[in-house]
Amino acid sequence: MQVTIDIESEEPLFGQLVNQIKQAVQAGQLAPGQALPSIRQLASDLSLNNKTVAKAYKLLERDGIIRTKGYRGTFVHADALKNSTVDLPALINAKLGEAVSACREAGATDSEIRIAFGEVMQLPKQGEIK
Amino acid sequence: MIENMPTGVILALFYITFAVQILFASVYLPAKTLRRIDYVREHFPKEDYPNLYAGGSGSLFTKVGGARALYRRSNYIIAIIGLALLVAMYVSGFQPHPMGGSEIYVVAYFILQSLPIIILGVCEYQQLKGMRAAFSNAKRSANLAPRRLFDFVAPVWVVLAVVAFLGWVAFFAYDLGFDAPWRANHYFSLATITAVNVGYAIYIAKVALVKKHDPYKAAKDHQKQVAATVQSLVFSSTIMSVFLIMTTAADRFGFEILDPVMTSIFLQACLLFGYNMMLNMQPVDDLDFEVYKNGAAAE
Repeated sequence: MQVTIDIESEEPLFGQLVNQIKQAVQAGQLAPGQALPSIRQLASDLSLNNKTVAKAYKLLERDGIIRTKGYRGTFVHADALKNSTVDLPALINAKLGEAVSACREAGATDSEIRIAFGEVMQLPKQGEIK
Repeated sequence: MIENMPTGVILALFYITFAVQILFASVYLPAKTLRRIDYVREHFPKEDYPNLYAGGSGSLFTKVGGARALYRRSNYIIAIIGLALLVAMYVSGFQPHPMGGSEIYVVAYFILQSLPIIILGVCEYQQLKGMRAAFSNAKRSANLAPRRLFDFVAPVWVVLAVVAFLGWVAFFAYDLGFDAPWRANHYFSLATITAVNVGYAIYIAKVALVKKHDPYKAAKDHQKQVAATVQSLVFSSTIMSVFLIMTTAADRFGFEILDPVMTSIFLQACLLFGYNMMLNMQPVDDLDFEVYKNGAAAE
């Protein structure tokens, strides 16, 4: 299984990696439990900065597509196929859309919603101490 | 048995081994290397394969002058010096010292023989550095699988290297006596050889398996290069341990007179399973040079 990135593409490099790995999981080219190259190896093979590949791996781990097991390396997550079908941007749009609609129905103006959204985004994340 | 060996046989062994060292390291290997360089220059010229001639490697591929000529001439001179030394030893009636120490001639000459290899090393370093600096291919591909040690070397060879090292440590300790007080030089020997082996292991794990030094290199050629590097280091480790066991045994059982022969064989084995094996595992006519054309997609 090969990944190909285009540094002249408008899509960010880490995004290209994330999408191709997700597509490979969906196409069955990457099976659950299959080992992936280390960040340094993939970055070296693609002549990219380690941070670019690390960012892609971090996003993939967040989305439950891959799993890092310490020194043993990085593997395709057991639920990668299920998780790779989740369209996160669409999910965010849907959830926020519902919330905005509810606020508008309650009589809030768009300006008030924006201010409230800004305040909510300032709140600490769950488990995070500010 | 060895102590009863006639001096003539020991001398013959020494002269044959040393002559083979001269011819192998300063005639055969340089000729093989020069054939390879000339093949590349003739079949893949700079005009069509510009990415191959990055950095300071251009002088290596120049037919007249440059690093190629320096490499060829220095090997030629070193071979002549070696043969002259061999004749001088024969004429002066040289005999290896029964208590050892005569291997110094073999080692000193080998260091001289290694100098032209440094020229190649510098050129390769400049070439790869230049390649990485100039690399601007828009499309880049990589295999989405980790490179693991046993993909490149059979487990039996790694086990053999470990067993050989532990065997040397055990024999070294046994030879000194487990109860006898160890001196600083004993600790130094043990630490040095252990550090060399640890260095090999770190190089394999952190560099050979991970880094792709030539950004243009085709995936299959890169796999071959990694295999050649890993195998040569594993074999070198085994050969080094076997050699150390042999020299320790020579000291213990009183056949130090063979130290120069054993040292020469060891140094030649390092070249045979190091540089020579790396050349053999990557035949130049089997490498993909299309990747060095302008605009070729990198793998």
